[in-house]
Amino acid sequence: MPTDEELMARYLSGDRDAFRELFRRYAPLVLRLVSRDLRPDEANDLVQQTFLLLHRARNDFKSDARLRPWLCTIAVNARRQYLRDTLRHKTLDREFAEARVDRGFLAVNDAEERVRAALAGLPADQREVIVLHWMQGLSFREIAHAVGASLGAVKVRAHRGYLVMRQALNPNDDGGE
Amino acid sequence: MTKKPTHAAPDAPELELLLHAVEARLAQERGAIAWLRSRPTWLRASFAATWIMLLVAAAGFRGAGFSITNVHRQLALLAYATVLVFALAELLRPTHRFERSALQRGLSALAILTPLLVPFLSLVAPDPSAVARLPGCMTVGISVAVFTLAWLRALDRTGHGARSTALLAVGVAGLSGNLALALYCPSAELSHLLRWHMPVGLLVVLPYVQLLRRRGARLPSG
Repeated sequence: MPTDEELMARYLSGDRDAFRELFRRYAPLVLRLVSRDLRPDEANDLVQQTFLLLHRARNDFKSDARLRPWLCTIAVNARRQYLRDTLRHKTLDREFAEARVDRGFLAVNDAEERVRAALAGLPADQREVIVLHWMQGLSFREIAHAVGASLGAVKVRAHRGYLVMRQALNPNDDGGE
Repeated sequence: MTKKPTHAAPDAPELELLLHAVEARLAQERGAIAWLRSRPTWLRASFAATWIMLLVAAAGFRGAGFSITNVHRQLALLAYATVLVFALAELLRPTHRFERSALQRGLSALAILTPLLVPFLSLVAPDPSAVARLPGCMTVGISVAVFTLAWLRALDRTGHGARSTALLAVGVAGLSGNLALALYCPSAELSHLLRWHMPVGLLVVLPYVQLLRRRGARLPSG
């Protein structure tokens, strides 16, 4: 199976099938990355936008670069711009906080819902790092590149975020290593 | 915390529908603007810088010229050029680089405020030898700003789809107009600068913001 970078090289030389393969390989990941807190139609638009920007920026791609963090940064930027333009980031944070109180965090039985609620309770910068690391499987170095922070800062955010998540999901856990 | 949450991944037909939608948009990526937007960042930056330099130089040749003995003009040129370089670098940042929104906001504010503040430099650096001003300063300034804005939009990969980018582009356009005027018009008279130079940026900002509001859509369709 060709690597992402080989596919990108083929795409740069005009192979449309290589783009389709990249899309099929990465659209689910990009969708997961951008869809949090958005309606499905908004998330789909952002996926389209991300790949359109990938197409427009294709000549910036260096042959020794890795595609995944490159694409993730484009998606993260697109999502941030969207939230900022629609003035929703503050609203969303408030909605999360209200939802957490209204629904009663400990009363949520479903594991996924509990994780979502725990994530929603995190500060935005920690939530972003946790999503990229835990759910998307990016390395800390890749995340640092994607969110424009230092490696140390990303590790601190992840540590704090995971600690809060653990305490939220296992209230009896004292958080010790 | 061993189990990852399951997200509703798109099934194959949904994925193919999305792919068709993307390919339909890619099929529209033709023509000069699509070509410009897909150039490497260093080339887009060169195109932008060259364009602005040409417009500014043309204004200089038509106007007061490049023999800059007026202290106010020297300070104004320095202020405009410095902010312009930083704002342009951020504006044409590669798409895969992390977006620093605080920096972008700061540069937008600086790009818009600089033309409002620079006229007051004439108070600390008066030039009694200022010759009679040329007519049409505002026409020249706005023309340079509008042509710059149009060119920057053609070079922007989101087509100013994001408001923050659009605002920074307007700031750069206003700076270009004022930079051109600093070469075009020899006047250091405060009332003239406030009346005919300073509003150039604002007169571009306000209609463009209205246009973007009316457009509403923010996805980069070009």
